[in-house]
Amino acid sequence: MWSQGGVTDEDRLSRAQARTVIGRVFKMAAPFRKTMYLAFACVCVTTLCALAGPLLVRRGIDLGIREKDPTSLNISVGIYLLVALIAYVFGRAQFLFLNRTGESFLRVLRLAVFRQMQRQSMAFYDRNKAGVLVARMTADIESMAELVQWGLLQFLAAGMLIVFALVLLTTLSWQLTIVALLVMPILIAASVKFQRDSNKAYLTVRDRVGANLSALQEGITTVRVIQAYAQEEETIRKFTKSNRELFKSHEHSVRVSTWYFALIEFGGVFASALIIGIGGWLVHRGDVTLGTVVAFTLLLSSLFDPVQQLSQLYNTVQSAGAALNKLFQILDAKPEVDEHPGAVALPTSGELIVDGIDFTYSGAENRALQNVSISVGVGEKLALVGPTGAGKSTLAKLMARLYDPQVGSVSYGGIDLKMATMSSLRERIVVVPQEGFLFNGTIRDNLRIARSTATDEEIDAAIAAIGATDHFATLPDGLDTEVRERGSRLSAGERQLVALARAALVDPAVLVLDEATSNLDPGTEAEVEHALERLMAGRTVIVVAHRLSTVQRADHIAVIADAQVAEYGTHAELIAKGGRYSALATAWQKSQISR
Amino acid sequence: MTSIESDTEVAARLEFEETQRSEGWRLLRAALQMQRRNLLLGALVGILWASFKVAVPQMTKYAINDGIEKNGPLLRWALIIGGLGVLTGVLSGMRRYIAFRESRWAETLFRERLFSHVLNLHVGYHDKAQTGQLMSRASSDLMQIQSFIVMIPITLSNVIQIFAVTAILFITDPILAIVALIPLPFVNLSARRFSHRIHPASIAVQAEQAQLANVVEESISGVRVVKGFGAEQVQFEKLEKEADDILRESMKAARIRSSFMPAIDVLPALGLVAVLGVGGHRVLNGDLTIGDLVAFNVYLTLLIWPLRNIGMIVALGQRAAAALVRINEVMSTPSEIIDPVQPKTLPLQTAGPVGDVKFDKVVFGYNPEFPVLRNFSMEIRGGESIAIVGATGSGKSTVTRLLLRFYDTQSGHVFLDGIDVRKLKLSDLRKHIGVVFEDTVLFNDSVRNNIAFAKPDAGEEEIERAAKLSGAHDFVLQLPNGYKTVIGERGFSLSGGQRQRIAIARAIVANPRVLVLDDATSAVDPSKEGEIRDAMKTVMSGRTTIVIAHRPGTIALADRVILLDEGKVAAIGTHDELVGSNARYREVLASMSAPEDEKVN
Repeated sequence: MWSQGGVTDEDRLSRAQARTVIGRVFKMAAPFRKTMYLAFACVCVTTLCALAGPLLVRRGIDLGIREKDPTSLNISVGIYLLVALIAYVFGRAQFLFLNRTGESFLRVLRLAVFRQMQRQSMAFYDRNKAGVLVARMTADIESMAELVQWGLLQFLAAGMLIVFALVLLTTLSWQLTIVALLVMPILIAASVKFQRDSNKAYLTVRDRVGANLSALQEGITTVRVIQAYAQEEETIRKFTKSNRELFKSHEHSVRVSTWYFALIEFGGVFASALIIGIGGWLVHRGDVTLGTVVAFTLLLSSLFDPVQQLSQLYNTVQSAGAALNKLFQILDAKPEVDEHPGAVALPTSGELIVDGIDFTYSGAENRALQNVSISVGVGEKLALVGPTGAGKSTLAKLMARLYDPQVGSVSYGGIDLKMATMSSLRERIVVVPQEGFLFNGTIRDNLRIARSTATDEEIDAAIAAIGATDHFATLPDGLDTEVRERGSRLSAGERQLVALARAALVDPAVLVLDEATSNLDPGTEAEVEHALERLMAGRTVIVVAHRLSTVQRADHIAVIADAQVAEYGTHAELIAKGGRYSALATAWQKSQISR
Repeated sequence: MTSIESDTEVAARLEFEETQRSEGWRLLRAALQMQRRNLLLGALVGILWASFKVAVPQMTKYAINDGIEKNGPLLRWALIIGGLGVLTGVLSGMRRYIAFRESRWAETLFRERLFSHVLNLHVGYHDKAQTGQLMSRASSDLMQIQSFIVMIPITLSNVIQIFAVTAILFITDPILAIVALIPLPFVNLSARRFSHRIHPASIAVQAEQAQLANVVEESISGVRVVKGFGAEQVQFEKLEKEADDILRESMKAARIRSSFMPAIDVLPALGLVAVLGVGGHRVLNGDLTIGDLVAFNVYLTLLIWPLRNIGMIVALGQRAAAALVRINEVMSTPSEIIDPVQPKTLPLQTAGPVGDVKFDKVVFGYNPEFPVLRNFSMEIRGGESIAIVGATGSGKSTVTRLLLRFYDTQSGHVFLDGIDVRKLKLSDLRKHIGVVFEDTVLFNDSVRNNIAFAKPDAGEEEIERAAKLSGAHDFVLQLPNGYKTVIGERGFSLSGGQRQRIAIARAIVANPRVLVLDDATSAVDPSKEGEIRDAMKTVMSGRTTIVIAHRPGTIALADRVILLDEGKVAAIGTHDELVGSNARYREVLASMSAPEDEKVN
C-alpha cells in the first residue's frame, strides 16, 4: 500500500540515539499532546472492537445455537451490531486525531528547522551543500508524512492487537494458544529475515532509480550535443544498460519478498489446520467448546496479520528515525554570528574601522586574512583589489559582519559590530552581491525583502533613487510583474537593478559591493552603471573591484594579497610607487590592447 | 469536499476525460499484447490460487461438521487443509512474482522506447518541451502504468474468488447468502469512491509541498540576500504560510480517509452480524449446520480484500490510462527532421579538398512569421576559415544549426560538398561537422570519455593530442584521476574556460570536415586564450572552420569575415578591409566590446 522506507547501516540509530529522538519528538509534540492521547484512546477502542467480533460469534454459537436459546443468540447479535457501530465511530475519530497529531508535528518540525537554518551564519551555509539542506526540509520531512498518515495508526493498532489477542486467546484456551504460538517463531524469524533482505534490496533499487533518472535527464538536456555528434545510438545503448540494471534490481527485490509472502499465506492456513486438528481433538475430550475452536480460527489472523504489518513498517519507522536524527542535528547547531545579549544600536554615521583581524574559514587550514587593519571614513570610497582567493571578498564580508573575525574587531562609529543589534547593523551596512538574486513573487515583493514594512510610495522612491523608474514602467505589469522562477523573466541587468533598488530602499550609510565579473549586454550595462553611481553618492562604499574604471573612481585602493593588505593609497600614489598595484594596472591595460 | 466547478465546466471536463480515457485504454491493451503469454500464465496461477483459497473454508466446514461434531476422521481433514495451505502458499508466491516481474518489464521497455524516441526527436521539439515534463513522462507516468499492470493477475484471481465464493454461498443457503452479501457491494463502491477522491487530495498536498520546497530553496540559495537585509522573518512568514497550507490540505485528505476507511472496515462486519443473526436462527430451525455457519463467516472475510482491490483497480486503471495518454502525446510526435528515403553519400576525402559549405537564398525563422535569416547566401571553400560577426540576435548561431540540420530551412538550400543537407543521412552529415557550442555541455563521465564522445573507440594518443591542441592537457593531468576523472554536474567541477577547452578537444577528436566554434573561448582566461588560438591554427589548417566570436583576437583567426545584419550578409572581406570600409562593421564591433573598453578607460 505504501512505498517502502529504506535505511542504510550508517543511518541506523543506536538504542541511546533512538531514545533521545523519541524523547525530543514527545517534547515537540507537547502542544497537541491532548489530541495524541485521544488518538491513542480511539485506537484502543477500535482494536478491542476488532477482537470482540469473533468472541461474539463464539458466544452466539456456544450459548445461543448449541444451547438452543434464541434470546441469547439475539443478545449476541445485538451486541455485535453495537460493537460494529462503535468501531465505525471511533475508527473515524482515530484517523482524524492521529492525522491531526502527526501533521501538526510535521508543521512544528518544519517551522523549527527552518527558523534554526535561518538563524545560522554564512559559515553554516559554506559547510552544508544547498541541496542537502533543501532535502532536509523537504524529502526528509515528507518521508515522515506517510508514516503519519498510515504508519503510526497501523503501528499502534498492530502492537495493541498482538497484545490483546494474546491475552484473549489465553483466557479462551491456553492449550490452543500454545498451538497457535507454535507457528509464531517461524513467522517472526521469517519476518526479520525478510525485513533485512528487502531493506538491502530497496537501497539498491533506490540507487539504481537515481542513476537511471540522471541518465535520463542527461540524455534529454544534452540532446543537441548528442544529435550534433550523431551519437544517438550509443547514448541509447548506454541508457538501456542502466535501465536493465534497474530492472534487475527490481526483479531481485521481488524475488526477496516472494518466498516471504508465500510463507505467510501458507502459515495462516497451516495454523488453521493445526487448530482444527488439535482443537477438534480437545473438543472430543471436552476440554474446549466448539465455539472456542471457531473463534480461534477467526482470531488467528488477528495474531498473524499484525506481525506481518510490523515487519513491513519496521524499515519505514527506522528511516523516519534516521531523518529525525539529522533534523535534530540542525536544530542543535549553534549559530556562530548571533546577536549578543545587551547589544546596542549602531550610530547613524561613523567611521568603519577594521582593527588587526585574523580570520580562518571553518575547516580551512590557512588563514584567509591575517592581521588586517584598515579604516574607511564617512562618505569615503574604498576599492579592494588583488588576485583571486587573496582575501578581498572575505574582508568585504567581515566588514558587513557576515562572519566574525577570530582575532581583532570590526567597528562602526566606535561600536564593535559584534555588540550591535542585528537590525541596526542591517540598516547601516548593506551588501549588494555580484548577481541580483530574485525570489518568487513580483518585483515589489522582491524589494520588500529588504524591508518588509515598506509602503508602495517608499518602493517607488527607492526605484526613483537609482533612476530606474522608466525602465520598470516598460514591463507588462510594472512593479507588479511576476519575476517567475529565479527571475527568469527579467534580464541579468534588470535583476541587478532590483538588487540595487533593494539597497536604496534600506538607505544605508555603508554599501559593500561585489562587482560583477561577467558582462551584461551593453544597453543595460550603462543603466546599471548609472544606478550604481546614484546609489553610491553620499555613502561610504567598499567595493571588491574587477575593473580599472571602478578602481580609478575610488578615493583609496587597498591591494589585498596573501591574506594581508599589501598596499594602500590613491590610484596616483600607488602607480607612482611602482608596486603590485602598478603592475596590476599595467597588466589590465595590456590585456586590452592585445585585443 | 464539494467541487467549485460549474455544471457546464464539469460536463466539458468529463467529456474531454472520456475521449482521452478511451484512447489510453486502447494504448494499454496494445502494450499488454506484447507480454500476453506471461500475463496469461499469471492469470492462470491466480485462478488456481483463488480456487484453492476458496476450498479452505469448505474443508474447514467439513472438518467441523464431520470431524468434530460427528467424530469423523479429524486428522484427514486437518491434513487436507494443511495441504491446501502449501498449494495456496506456492501459488500466491508465483502470482506475486509474475505480476511484479511483468509490470516492471513493461515499464522498462516503455522507458527505453520513450527515451530513444525523445532522443531522435528534432531539436525544434526540444526547444519547446520542458525537461521536467519529459522526465515525469518517463518516471511518474510510467510508475502509474506499472502499478496498474501489477494488479492485473491479482484482480483476475480476485474476480474468480468473488464469483466462486458467491456461488458457494448461494448453493449452501440462498437466503442467508442474500442477507450476508447485501452490505458487501458497498465495500467495492466505497473503495472506488475513496480512490477517486483521495487522488486529487494527495495531488493537492504534493502541490503545497512543492511550494514549500520553493520557499526553502530560494531562502537557501539566496541566503546572502536574506542575511544581508535581515529578511529572515519575511522568509519565515512565507514558509509558515506554506506549512499551514500543507497542514490544511493534509487534513482534508485525512478527512476523506476518515470517512471511507472505517466504513470499508465496518461494512463486512455488518455482513458477519447478519450471518450470526439470521444464520443462527436457521441453525436453530435445522435449516443449516454449524459448520455451514462458520464457513459462511470465513467466506465473508474472504470477500473483503478482493472487493476492496477491485474498487481500487478501477481508479488505478483510469490513472494509468491518463498517464498513457500523456506518454502517447510524446510517442506519437513524429520527428520532423529525418533521414531521406534514398540518401546520397558525401564525396570521398581523396577526391580533393572537402568541406565546401554553401548557403543558397536561405530563409528561416524559429517562428516562420519572424524570419531570422532572410535570403541568406554564402559560400565557404573547403579548407577556408571564416568568421561570422553580427549583433546579438542577428542569426549567427542559427547558421550553425541549419548546417547541422537541426532545423530545415523555410526556403533555400544548405549544401555540404555540393550535396543538399536534406539529401544526406543525418548521421553522415553530422559526423562531418564538429561544433563547439556556446553553452558548453559536458557529460557525467570521465574526461577521456567526454573527449572521445564522437569516437568512443579513440586511442589514448589521439585523445591526448586533441587535449594538447585545445590547451586542456595540462590541467587534466592535475585533476585527481587525470583523464579518468569524472566531470560534469555530479563530478569534479571545472571552470567555464576548462569546460570549453574540453569541448574543443571533443570537436578535434571528431576530425570533422567543418569545424564550428560558436563563441567557444568566451570563458577562457585572456592570457590562456592566446595559447589556445595558436593551437587552433594547427587544427584549422586545411579544414573548413566557421568561427563565431566577439573578441577581435579570435575574429583575426579567420581568412575572411562575414558581417551578418538583419538576417542577410551585409559585407564580406578580411577584418582589416571591413574595419576600413564598413561603418556598420565598426559599429557592431564597438557594441560587442563596449563593456571591455569601459574597463580600460
